[in-house]
Amino acid sequence: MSSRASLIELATLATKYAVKEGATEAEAFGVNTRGYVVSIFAGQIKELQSINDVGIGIRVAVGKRLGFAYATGTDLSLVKEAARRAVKLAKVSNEDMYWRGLPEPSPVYPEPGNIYDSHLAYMNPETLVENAVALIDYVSQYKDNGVILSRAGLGVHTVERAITNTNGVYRIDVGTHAHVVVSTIIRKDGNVTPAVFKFDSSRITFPSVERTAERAIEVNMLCTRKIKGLEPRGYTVVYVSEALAELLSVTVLASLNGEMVVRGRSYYAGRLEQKVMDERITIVDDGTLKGGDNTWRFDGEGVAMQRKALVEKGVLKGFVFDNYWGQRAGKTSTGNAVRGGYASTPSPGFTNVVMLEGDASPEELLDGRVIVVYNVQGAHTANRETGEYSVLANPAILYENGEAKGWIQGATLGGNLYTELESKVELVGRLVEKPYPGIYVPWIRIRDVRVAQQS
Amino acid sequence: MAVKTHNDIDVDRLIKVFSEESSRLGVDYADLRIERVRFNRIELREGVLTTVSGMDYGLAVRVYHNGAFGFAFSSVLNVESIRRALANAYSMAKSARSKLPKPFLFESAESYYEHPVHESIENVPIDTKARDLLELDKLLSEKPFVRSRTVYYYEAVEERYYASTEDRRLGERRELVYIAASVFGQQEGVRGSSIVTNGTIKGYYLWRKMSIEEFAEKALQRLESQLKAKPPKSGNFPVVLAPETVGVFVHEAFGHLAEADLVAAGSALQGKKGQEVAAPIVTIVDDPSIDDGFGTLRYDDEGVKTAKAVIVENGVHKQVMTDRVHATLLDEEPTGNARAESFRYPPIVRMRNTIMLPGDATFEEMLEDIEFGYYIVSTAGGQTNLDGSFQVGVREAYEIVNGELGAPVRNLSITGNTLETLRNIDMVGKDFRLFYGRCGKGQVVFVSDGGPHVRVKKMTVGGRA
Repeated sequence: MSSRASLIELATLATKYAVKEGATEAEAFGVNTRGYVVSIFAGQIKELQSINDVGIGIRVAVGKRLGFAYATGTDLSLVKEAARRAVKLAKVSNEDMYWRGLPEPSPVYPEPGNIYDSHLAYMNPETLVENAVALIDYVSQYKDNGVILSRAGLGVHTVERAITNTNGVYRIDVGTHAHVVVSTIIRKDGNVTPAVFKFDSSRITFPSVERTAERAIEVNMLCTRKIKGLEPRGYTVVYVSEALAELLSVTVLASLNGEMVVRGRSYYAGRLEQKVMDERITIVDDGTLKGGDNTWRFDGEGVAMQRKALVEKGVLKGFVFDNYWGQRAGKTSTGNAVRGGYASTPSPGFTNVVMLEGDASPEELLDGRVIVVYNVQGAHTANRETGEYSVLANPAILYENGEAKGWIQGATLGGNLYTELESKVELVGRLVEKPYPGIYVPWIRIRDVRVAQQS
Repeated sequence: MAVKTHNDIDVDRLIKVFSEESSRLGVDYADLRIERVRFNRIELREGVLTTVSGMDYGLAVRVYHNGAFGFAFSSVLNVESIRRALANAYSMAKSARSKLPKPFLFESAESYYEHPVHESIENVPIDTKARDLLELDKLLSEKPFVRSRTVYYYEAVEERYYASTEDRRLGERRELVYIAASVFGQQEGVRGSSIVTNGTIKGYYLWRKMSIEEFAEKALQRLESQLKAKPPKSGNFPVVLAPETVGVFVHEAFGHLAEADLVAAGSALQGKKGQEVAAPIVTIVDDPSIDDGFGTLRYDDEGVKTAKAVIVENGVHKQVMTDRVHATLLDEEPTGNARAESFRYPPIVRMRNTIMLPGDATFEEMLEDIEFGYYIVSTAGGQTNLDGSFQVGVREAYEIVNGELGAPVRNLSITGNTLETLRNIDMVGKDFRLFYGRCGKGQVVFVSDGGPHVRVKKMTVGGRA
């Protein structure tokens, strides 16, 4: 199947089959992804992949009993079979007393802009390979410095989404996306620097492979001189956007998720309109961000994407909800039903998370004696209930008055992100970066973070 | 091939078309994977059940031509999509402009194997499984300090077929069941959570490996110990690692460094073959033949017969884990470590069952002469960097004081350099346990890891806040 209309038609048929099988409500979410991906290992193209993945996920309710099934491909008989299975599963499920039904169509849907580009949609695989070769050539200039392009990936995708439900939701959307990920290390004279990972993406143009590689190599170069014997104590630390995004995702974002609030696991539950962070911090979730990685007209349940403040000038303003968890909290969906694709059920998640810029210049951030943390290892082991973390800062670079002094190899960081963002923020950078897909954050300077170096 | 016949797919015919088309194109090498996976996923949140069922059918074609691989897949299983995927993969290979060596090639082969099960998951009704999980959830709900509960159950019947231009025709069927239960609790202002997992490839067999009561008890005991725990001291201490932590360490901190693609990319094990990288009492293998492991497979996703990779033997680095290309590129033995998450992905070098082999020490001997140290039971996972530095977050741990287990501690991590840590191991236990989980490396695959209790002379323990 190739046309957009047929994906929505297939979705419509899926809901009809489900109703015929006994569903009282039904929803079908179809996704068709096409594109190309090049993977590079150890400075060589390993393979070029052609992506063509289409399928339909069907969610049904029989009264308050729920079921979900999906079919890959566009074969009508498989879609029919999936609808039948979804209804069968619902019938053997127990009642969900909290179920209040599928969402209604939203009154207005946004027109965010910059989410589709015909050049990306029709980019041929040879052009993608040219970009990959340009990346390999660029990094090979630094061969004498021992720089190795350890891994990289370049991709371009066109995604069509279609959703229908028995409440009258009937929407289609199409977007493009291009990305570059680069990981480099330096191996020289028996020393190995950490692998440094950099990412860039765009919905409407191919990102610069050279600039992405340059950013990774710049950080590698900072690790060629080592600092030893750092005394263990509290230090002023600057979290670069990668490190901040990693720690935020596991702690703060988990606690801003409506499901965690309803289930009593969120650190921020019951603290709406209270000051929970430094007044220089504002965090929004914006599904309508122009050209954002996760910008669409509707979310994974067909609810209009929205921009909402979660934390405004340090004050807690809201959480993200899908329809189900919104209803359980006595609220409505915030347009944050996120799905992994046609094969997964919706759950509350983030679209484009933006921590707004502060006013500190790079010089101010690096003023005095500070430890700059370019990335952390083990952020996923942070405790989202309490905010406590104990991670390896890799690499961590000591700066004195703006000058890099060397790599603090084996620096462990111990802290609590909830309390640090509340009372230990010194400065918020004025430049917002996108270290990972859909997360936009500045650098941040925090005082009194415990740092120890392995002996 | 002795392929099981299916109503919905004619595997033999698809393979025949692939063979005819690939020889017509005159490619250097091509392979075809056909997958027929049926799964159920049951989740309980505070006792509310969600059930998901999927049929994941698809095929993947990979072509090596003129120094490059092209890859294409389709979620439609018919003759037309084989032709299209093959043409597409061939065109990708021609466009890829690479200079990779020819992959390691093998003789023709034919095999179909069904991993034995005690009771097939297909013969147990879904409501029986739901009832068992609801019983588990009920047990988890009975302690007053538990505030929130999540039970995740996944089962799949995987049928994978492989054919190549070497005239290899292989098939394998296995059943896989995985469970994870996590509880969050709060008591006297202290918050914490715990998770317990288990798995099997022997059908609906979970509760015979560990009863529902034992499973619940373990999750609750772990949470309770966290809620009573105190923060640790930071610094360097002797540490005893329990089998679950050893498993995470040998997989996360060490195993990834021995994956051939990462060795080629400059991992800390590059150029270390034949050298002593661990204490002489340490042997680490990636073994695809272990009884009931998530990585127990006859053939990998490149149709290579799986073989044990002896990564470290008596402290010396012997082998790396390879796929076809890296076996040629690094002049290494093919070990059959190429795995793909599904037909949507090309296979890459992955681990299977990564374990440290047991030694001869008892747990008591390990504690005996420790004045002060830590006993690290379970983890929240870990992360390693190519440079050999690792971090492992700890969930359940206890102090060791004057040779005896002491109070529980919480919110700590262990960090260090993997090879230095392996050299600091001074005792390896005589016990052994295997664990079940998933590993992500761009793609997620099911793996097992494990080992005995192990003592490390000195390890960096970090606290949080």
